[in-house]
Amino acid sequence: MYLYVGVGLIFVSVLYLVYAVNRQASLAQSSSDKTKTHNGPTAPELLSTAQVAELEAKLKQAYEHQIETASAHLGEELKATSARLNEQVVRLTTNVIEAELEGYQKTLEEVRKVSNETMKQLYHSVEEQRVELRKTMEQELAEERQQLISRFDTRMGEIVASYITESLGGGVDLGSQMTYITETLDANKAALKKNLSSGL
Amino acid sequence: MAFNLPSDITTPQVFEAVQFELERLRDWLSNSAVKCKVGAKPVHEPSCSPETKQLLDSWLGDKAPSVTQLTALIEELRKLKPVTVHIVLAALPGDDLKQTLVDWFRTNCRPDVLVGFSADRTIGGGIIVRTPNRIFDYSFRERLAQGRANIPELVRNVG
Repeated sequence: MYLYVGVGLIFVSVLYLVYAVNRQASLAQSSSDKTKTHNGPTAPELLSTAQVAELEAKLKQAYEHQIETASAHLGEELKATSARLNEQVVRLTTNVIEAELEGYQKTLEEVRKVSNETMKQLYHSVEEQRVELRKTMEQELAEERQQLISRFDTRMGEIVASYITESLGGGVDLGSQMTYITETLDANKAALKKNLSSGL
Repeated sequence: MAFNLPSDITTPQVFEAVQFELERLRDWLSNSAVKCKVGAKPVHEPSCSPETKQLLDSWLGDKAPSVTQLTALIEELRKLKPVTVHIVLAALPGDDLKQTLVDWFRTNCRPDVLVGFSADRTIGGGIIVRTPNRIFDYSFRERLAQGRANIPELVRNVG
């Protein structure tokens, strides 16, 4: 818009200048014609045609120069403006992106915190369950081991007793046992006598 | 006069055999007397076991056996109703050991005890006494069974 205004002003000023020059020339021409007709011999003319043409050429040259200057200036202004606009756009987009990224990072950070908290809770829960499970398993293993030991002890007693009994089974010498047998009977004489006397 | 069971009648089988032989002898005597009266040839006198002969000797003394005396003896034996005790040993004992055990029971418990014997090698040793209403287990097997709870501790102490 400024460009158009500037060009317009220049154009108007040039036109005014040309108009002013032409008017001056026409006034000068009419004044000389009056002087010439009134006074008999005429005064010399203010601007000749060649001078007007030269002046017009100079004006044109000046006008073109002004146009070029204005155009160049306008171009430079446009470049600068465009650069500044680009810069502004870049800065704005960068700001926007940075703001969005910052928000995204904040969100990510919050999510990370929540995840960490959740993971910690999960870890503690799992650890507690692991400890509990370990304790339960150790207890069960201890009980099972004790049962196995008891069963083994029982079986071992029976095995040893059976082995001894089986080993003694062959080649029994009652003569050598009679002392033990009579001593055993003597030790339990009262019970035997009571049973044989009262049970009938 | 109280009648005591002879010492050589130890087992229920011997006791029943003596009773059987006495009854057979009595029946033979009775039949022989009848046959003599009718002039028939008497049957050969039945043989008796040493236990029966010894019982007769102790009962009759120097007298000859008669139906009446034998009937009285048989009746005494029936009235006796001896108690039977069964003994289980790791092996069958010989006569001496049997007599020793029978004498012990008759001396320490009752004079009219009859003792039956059987063998069971699984008891390992010792004696099991089975009365009419109870079992007295004094065998090695029972002693081991009672002490088997101590065996693991013994093994651990040895180890």
